[in-house]
Amino acid sequence: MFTCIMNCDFKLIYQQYAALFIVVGVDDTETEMAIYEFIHNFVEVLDEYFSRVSELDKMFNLDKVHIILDEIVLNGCIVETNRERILAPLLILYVGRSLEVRSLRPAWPTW
Amino acid sequence: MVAPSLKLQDLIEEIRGAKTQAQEREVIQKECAHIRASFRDGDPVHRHRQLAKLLYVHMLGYPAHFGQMECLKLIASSRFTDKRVGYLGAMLLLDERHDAHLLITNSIKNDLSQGIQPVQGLALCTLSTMGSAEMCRDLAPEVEKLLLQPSPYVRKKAILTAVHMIRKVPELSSVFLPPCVHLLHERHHGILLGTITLITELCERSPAALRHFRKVVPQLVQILRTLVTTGYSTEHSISGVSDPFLQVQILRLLRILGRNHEESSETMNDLLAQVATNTDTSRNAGNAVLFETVLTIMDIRSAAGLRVLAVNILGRFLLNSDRNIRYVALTSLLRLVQSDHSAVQRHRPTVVDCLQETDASLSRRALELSLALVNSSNVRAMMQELQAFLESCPPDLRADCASGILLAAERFAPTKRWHIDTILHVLTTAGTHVRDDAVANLIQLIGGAQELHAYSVRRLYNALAEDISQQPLVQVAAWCIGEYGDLLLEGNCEEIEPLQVDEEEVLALLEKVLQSHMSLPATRGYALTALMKLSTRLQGDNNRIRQVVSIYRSCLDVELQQRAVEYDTLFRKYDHMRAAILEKMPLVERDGPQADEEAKESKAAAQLSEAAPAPTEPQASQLLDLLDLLDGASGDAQHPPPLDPSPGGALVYLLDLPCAPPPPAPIPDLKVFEREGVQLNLSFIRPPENPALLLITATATNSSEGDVTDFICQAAVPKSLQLQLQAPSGNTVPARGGLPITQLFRILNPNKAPLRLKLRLTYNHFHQSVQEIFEVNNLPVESWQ
Repeated sequence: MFTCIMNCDFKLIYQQYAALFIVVGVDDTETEMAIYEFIHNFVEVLDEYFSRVSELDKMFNLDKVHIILDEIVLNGCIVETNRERILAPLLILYVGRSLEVRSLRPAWPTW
Repeated sequence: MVAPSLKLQDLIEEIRGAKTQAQEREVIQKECAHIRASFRDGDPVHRHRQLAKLLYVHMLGYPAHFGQMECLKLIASSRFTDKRVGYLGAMLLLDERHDAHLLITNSIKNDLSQGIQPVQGLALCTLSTMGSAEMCRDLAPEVEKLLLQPSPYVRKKAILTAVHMIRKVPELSSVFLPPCVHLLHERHHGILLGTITLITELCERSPAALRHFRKVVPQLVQILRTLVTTGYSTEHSISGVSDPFLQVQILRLLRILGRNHEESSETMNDLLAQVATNTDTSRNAGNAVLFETVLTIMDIRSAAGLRVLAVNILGRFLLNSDRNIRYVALTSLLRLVQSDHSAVQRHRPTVVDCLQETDASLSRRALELSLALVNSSNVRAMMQELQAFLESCPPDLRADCASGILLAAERFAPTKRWHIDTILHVLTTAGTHVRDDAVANLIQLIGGAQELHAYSVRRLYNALAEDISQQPLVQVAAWCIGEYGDLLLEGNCEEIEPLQVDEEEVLALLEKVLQSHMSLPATRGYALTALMKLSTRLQGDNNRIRQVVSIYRSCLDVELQQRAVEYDTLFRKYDHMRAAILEKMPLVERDGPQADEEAKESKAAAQLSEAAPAPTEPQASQLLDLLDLLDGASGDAQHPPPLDPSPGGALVYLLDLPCAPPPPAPIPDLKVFEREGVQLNLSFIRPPENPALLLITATATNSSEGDVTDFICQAAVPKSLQLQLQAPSGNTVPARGGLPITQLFRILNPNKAPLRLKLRLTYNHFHQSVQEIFEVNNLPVESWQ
């Protein structure tokens, strides 16, 4: 269930996934259902990267989440929605450091 | 960076381990001190780690401005990890308001031209997020070059950076317009998405661009068609719909291009129909595309069939089990109901069902839509539903619902009785929430529906007997009981079951209203006036009423006190006038608040000059008339004889009268002729504004047992005066005090010559014709001086 809160000229659309809230602020030009799809897509990407993402993952890996977000959205416009293409740069970046990363997350998919 | 630095992990764990807000603040302040020290020392190796910690602290809401210069140093470094954190810091900490942001322009320029894709990506991302106008102007050439690069990773970002630049510096649109058409031919969805966004931005900003891009409508249609008809494609499919984001963007652009443009709209018609029918709606992605299609159809010049299809899709959304989709559907239908009323009407039952929603925002939208859908054919059914809703709805919606029902009832009421019933029902259920003018409207309505007086007063009495807390209801009921009390006591009315109401019960009820602490002062005023009116309507003696009125003579409320004193004096000194003053009121003029009793009292002075026959003058103005008469004002000739003034100055001192120049003393009447019960009286008026004018009213009365017929009265005056005879009111005076004949003489006496009057009467009485000629003696001096 997502819900919208209207506030004069912009809306807040949020979705709750267990303990995680994702809130998106949009203006009148966006439609709620499209934003819901966007939120869902974002969560799925995170899910694929962190495997079964939880709130703690986001906190401890804040910069990675930022990188992912920067790949998806650029100044409020959607850039890329294809999961592989979004994650590709990130994985290239962290290839060198996979050892340390792996030690933190035992169920790390091998790329 | 986060991962290798145990320090950052420790910091996060420490922060999370803090039990209270104060503890957390302590930890963070300690760490910030460390970070500041480290920045001062200029340690290059761990700088990114420190900045990363700082950004985390910033996310929690603590001040982090001292990291701004570090961002610059990190961006300038050659390690990617440094650059990454530096750019992120720049996006989060720097913006146009800080002067430091201009300093990164150079670094961005370098990074953009070096050709390393991830770095270029970073730089573009930062530029598009926080680039100010000067930065954009400086870096526009670089971005333009990147638009033409082969690598899609950088191109898609460059396009969206161009969007940002156009927003900041509109002149740059000329730079970025030419590549657009070329970019549309790309197949990479990321580039397409960016290009569509760029074109949308250009079209929104300049009508010239809009015209230019109308050429590409066929191409857009083609792209969308391919998307819709392609089967499952692994790359872009989301829940079975291929790249819904791109579809939605294209639809949005088509909406802008097709608005008010016949040709483009026609090109799109088929495609829109195809999208609407082919999209799979079992998952939300399909619904999102469908919704965007509906919005586009409604905005462009589409065929009628297509519009009906769009409304039907919205109707289907209303039946969806997902609350959000219903909400979105209701909001859109509300926008459409003005333009496509009949199409939306078809979904009326579903909308009415939505009134029962538990969610407040949904029920509010359903209420607005239901009110918009009321028309003359469905008004009865809709009102029933809305009234049922009014009883059960949450309090914050009550006011809107009540006023909506009243408005709709006013516009579409099929019969007066239904209208009165509806308003009554609203007043009983939501009385405290109605608007102030509802009382006045209802009173006016009831006053106008003569045949329903008995019915209304009976129903109002029943309602009042049950509950005296709803103020608007009490006010209307008190007014009606006062006006139509005699109908209430009659006991039979064919439309409601007969109710035997006792005089004492009615008086007791009104007294209860007067005394109740729930009644507003205005309500009390209504009740007191109603009691007063009942004194003439009821048959019994008025002791009880007189008692109540005299009690309120010493009431603390000035308004009530004034009324009580006036009414009490009416009982004591002017009892003979009471009946005329308290007669039934005429229908009020419907012009807003002036229909109120209170407002009319202020117009009373103006009404003095009206020549309307006395019984129908509003009682408030009559009261003031009476007081003015005591002062000796003009206006007495218009009243029938019983209201002739008897000088008594007592009341003048108690009340504020409007200040008027002292009018001349009234001239006493003269009886000039009497024969066998037939009498002729003359009454005189000298209007103050025209001293030469004298108005004489001749009144012929008959107290004998036989009728007087063919009555003619003629008059003559000396030559220096001018006489004008107006037509008599009739020529028959029925026997035994029947309706008298009046006739008006206008005499102009500019020279103030002594008045002499000769009268000639002819009539038939007791089957004899009578003729009398005589001169009027004892004419009062005031009539010609």
